[in-house]
Amino acid sequence: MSTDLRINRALTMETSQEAIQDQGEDNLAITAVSDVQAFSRLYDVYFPRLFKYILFRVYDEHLADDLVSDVFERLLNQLPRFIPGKAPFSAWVFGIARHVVADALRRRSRQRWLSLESLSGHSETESPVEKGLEEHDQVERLRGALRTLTSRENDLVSLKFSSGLTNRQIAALTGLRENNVGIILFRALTKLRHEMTRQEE
Amino acid sequence: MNDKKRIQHEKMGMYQARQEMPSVTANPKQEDEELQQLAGSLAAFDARAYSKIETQLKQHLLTRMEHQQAYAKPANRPQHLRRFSLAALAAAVLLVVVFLSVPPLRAAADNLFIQIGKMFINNNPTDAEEYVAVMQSGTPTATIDPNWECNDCPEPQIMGKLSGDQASEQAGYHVLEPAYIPQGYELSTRDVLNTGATITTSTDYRMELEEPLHDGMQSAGIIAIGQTSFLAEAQPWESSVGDVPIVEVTVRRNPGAWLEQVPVYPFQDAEGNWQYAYWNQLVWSEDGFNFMIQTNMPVDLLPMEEIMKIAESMK
Repeated sequence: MSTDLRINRALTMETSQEAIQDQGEDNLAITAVSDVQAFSRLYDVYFPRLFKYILFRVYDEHLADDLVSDVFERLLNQLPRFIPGKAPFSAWVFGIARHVVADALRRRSRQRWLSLESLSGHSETESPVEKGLEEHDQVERLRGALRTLTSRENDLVSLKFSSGLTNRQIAALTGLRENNVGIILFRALTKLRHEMTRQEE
Repeated sequence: MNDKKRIQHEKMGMYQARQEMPSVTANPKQEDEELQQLAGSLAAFDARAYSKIETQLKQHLLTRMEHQQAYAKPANRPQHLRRFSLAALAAAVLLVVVFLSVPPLRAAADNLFIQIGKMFINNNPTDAEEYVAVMQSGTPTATIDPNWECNDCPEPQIMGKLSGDQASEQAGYHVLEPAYIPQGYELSTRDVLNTGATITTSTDYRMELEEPLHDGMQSAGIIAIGQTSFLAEAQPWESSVGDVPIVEVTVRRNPGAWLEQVPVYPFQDAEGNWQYAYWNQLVWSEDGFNFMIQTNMPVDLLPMEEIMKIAESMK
């Protein structure tokens, strides 16, 4: 198998599996409108994905916590308006998340009161988590590298590796062509690796 | 495009991108492996360890959902009742069509919306939203003129701070006072407004916030309680709450409604964009009075159950 195809496979979910997963999540979302247990399961499935997407986009844990709360508040309010079949539930949810993040980034760019701490993505008091130093270094390098991406590249990488959406679904969500999504993702990954290698040196 | 073509298409895109990208290492095979490794690491990265609110947020959302279901009348109805409701709904829709298509009956159509005492709550735009729409369009309406300038305006009336007894005496009815107010809030104003057809007692409790909300625009939390009496012959009035869910609730064994995030006051931010102050409102009708408790605090800081608790403690 060629390397390109292998990378492509790594970036593309199996279609049949994806369809089953979409349908399962759509059904869960419909049940979650009136069933607390179903909403609880939906939260367990989506919190890690949404938080990861937002963290990749804003680089700041506190802000990511605030924004993921905002997304779930909106999700709870708007869940009855979800129309199955129009788009997969995951695309609908990540559409909300993208708006919330875009609003936050717009606000951040307008406001001057943000501390240097939050702009740098971490503070002295918030040592991320009790993790191995090596892993911590790697994560910090990754976060540093993510900052070198353009907003669109960052959006696509964050969506790709947190939402579980296919390139086709990401294309529908972002208004790009499917082929462009693949190209931008490939470029962004290469850029990330380049930057991480540079930081290592 | 079918899946086979799609993958082929993506593959061509990758190839095209590869030709345009500068190579980082001299060994393309190693480069590909590293790229795959990075893609794998990104996919496997578990960000949850960086969140401090995962459990609390879940608890908060589930509690909120349970409360919404507990207070919303239509929830948890048996299946046969739902079927009956569908038939009733169809009849109601037919009624609405008839009402709206026959002009003399159109005025009565508002009666189909939720009625609390003499107040009809509907989902039409709030006064604030109508005001902003007119200001943005620049076209005057019968009640709002975007070009109006006040040359001889009276000084804004300063609200008094009457005691409960003084307010009761002035209003001519017993003003209910809450025995419970959340910690930190203090009586700020209490006054009586007599319009002839209605007499309203407004009581505000206020707490200065250590950390302002909404990007520093909200510096105080306010809980406002209104008690309104009206003449028996007073005309019913409409209360438009915008596009928010009207949740029917029972307050002190009386019919009421819980309204979240109602755009109540319009204002312009530093960039001149119109924004709204969103308030949560609990309204109910009791012994010929209309009551409203409203707050500018978000539900995570002042949830509905707290507002209910205030209402239940009033005497």
